[in-house]
Amino acid sequence: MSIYILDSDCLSIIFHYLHFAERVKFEAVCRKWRGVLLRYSINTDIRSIDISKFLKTANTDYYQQDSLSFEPTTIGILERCGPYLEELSLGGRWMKITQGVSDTIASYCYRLRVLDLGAVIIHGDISAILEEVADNLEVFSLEDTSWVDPNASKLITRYFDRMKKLRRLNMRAQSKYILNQLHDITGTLQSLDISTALREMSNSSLLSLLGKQQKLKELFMYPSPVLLNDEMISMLVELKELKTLRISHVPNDNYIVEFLGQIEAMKELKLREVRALTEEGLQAILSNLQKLKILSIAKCQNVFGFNALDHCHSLVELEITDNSNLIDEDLFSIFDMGLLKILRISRCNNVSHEAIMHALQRNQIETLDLTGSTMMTDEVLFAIASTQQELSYLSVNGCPKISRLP
Amino acid sequence: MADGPSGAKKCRDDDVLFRVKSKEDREYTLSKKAAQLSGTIHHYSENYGLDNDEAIMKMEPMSLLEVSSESLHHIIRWCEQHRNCPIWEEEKWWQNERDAELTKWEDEFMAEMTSETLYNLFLAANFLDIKCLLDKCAQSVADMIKGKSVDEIREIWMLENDFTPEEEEKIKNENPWEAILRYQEQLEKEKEEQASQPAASS
Repeated sequence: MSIYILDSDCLSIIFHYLHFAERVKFEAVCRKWRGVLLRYSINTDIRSIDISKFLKTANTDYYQQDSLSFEPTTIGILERCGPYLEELSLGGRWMKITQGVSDTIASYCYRLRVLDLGAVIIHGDISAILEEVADNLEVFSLEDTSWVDPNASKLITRYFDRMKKLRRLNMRAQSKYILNQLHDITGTLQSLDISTALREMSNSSLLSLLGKQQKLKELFMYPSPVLLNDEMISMLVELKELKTLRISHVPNDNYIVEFLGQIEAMKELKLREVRALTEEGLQAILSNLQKLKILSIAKCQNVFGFNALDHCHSLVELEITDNSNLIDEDLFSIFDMGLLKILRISRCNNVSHEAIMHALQRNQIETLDLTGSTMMTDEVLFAIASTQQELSYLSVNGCPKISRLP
Repeated sequence: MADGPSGAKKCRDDDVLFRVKSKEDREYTLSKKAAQLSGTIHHYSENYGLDNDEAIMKMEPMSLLEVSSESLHHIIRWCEQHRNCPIWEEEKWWQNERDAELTKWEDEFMAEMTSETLYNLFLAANFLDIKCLLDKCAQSVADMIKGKSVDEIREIWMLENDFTPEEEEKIKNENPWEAILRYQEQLEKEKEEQASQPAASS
């Protein structure tokens, strides 16, 4: 007796219980199976696909090889499940996306709500995709995506005014041409990343962008695409929903950062290389941000004292790097709250093992990064071993006084 | 026939019994509630006016020409066990709220089945349109074929490769993973060769 007696109805129900890749594999078993797999709508249950998951190597160089084309793979996958997909990701592994791949997405995936083209290299242009899905897109990422032809990248801006459902947009490292057109998007965004190392966005574009997006909860300008000025800060302060802000690379003469303290709903603030930040500025910010849960102050060299940390009563994540003005006493009040899950103190030479021991006695930490802390000793490791149950990440690289791992 | 898993429900004396007949012309009865789990019986009842107890008590047995006695026996056990589950209201209700005891019973029930019994039960469940049993059967068969290669599948279930060589070639080319896999294999081979060369020379 064989499985052969099962009819097509039964087979189709069985195939529903298999993973997509297995369904495709079993097309080669016999005519009957192939018929059921291709004709019955077996793949209607697949709503989300990450193409790179089907490519079985982790090596990034591998994906960039000229001889390697993902076209057949992408076509094969999308022919089978494209029409049902709501979420599509190309997996951010610097795969080369040919025009054929773009056209395939455009012709099969007309129901997409989420499109992640982050960290891929686009050969050709993706207008055809946006023509199909722009109106329904809720999440769109071009994070670090690069284009072989910069002119082709410009074409995406034509679709901005059609993206009326867009909630999350990631345009990290995109060109000034694209950034300057973002204000065409209606005011639906909740999360926006416009970080770029090239400070090329025009002030007026940023102003009209921020003026329109009053629902923003998260804003990433890490590094900022413009030199921040008074007007922009007052625009930021107007964003009543803003809870997460990451800013970096604000130079010396920029005194206005302290106004960030006026965004009272803020839960996450990350500042990196903000040279305008001073001890007084930090005081002004932290004394107002009572709801802050995540704070990062990285490479802000002009903060000469961290007394202001006493204002933080609810921190679950704290990162301070590259500042020898941070001393043990600044940290005790945060450590006493006992809420910390993530603690990163890197290259702050005047934080001793005593402060960290204090933290370990009062907090159950998941991530502890003490990279380059010259005053740490083996005692810290013993304390970790005896007090911490939830630790999943630990770095003590560059701690010369630590001799061994427990 | 063998007794079912522990705690199996039998129909109570006061239940109104629905009469059915197997392919081998053997008569079986099952409670009205259990019978309603089958879409096929449900429609039959509607068409033949079996919507009240009196009519059911007077009914002639319904012939199930596609269902063997053995399958019918198992089907009745399954339906009696599930007769208090809400039906019709919700698509796939049996997947929503899993009653741990019922799940255990189902697993024991499936574990009893030889593959031959299972395939016949599967077909019978499809004929009788009993969604929860269909699903369970499908899941059991899927668990058997998961992770097997095409050749293993053909061998275990004696499925004949009925493609022509040309068709087979075409299928290979169409498969989205073939090209990539072949490339990967080649790459690994090269790596192995490179790794083995210095070892051989030293």
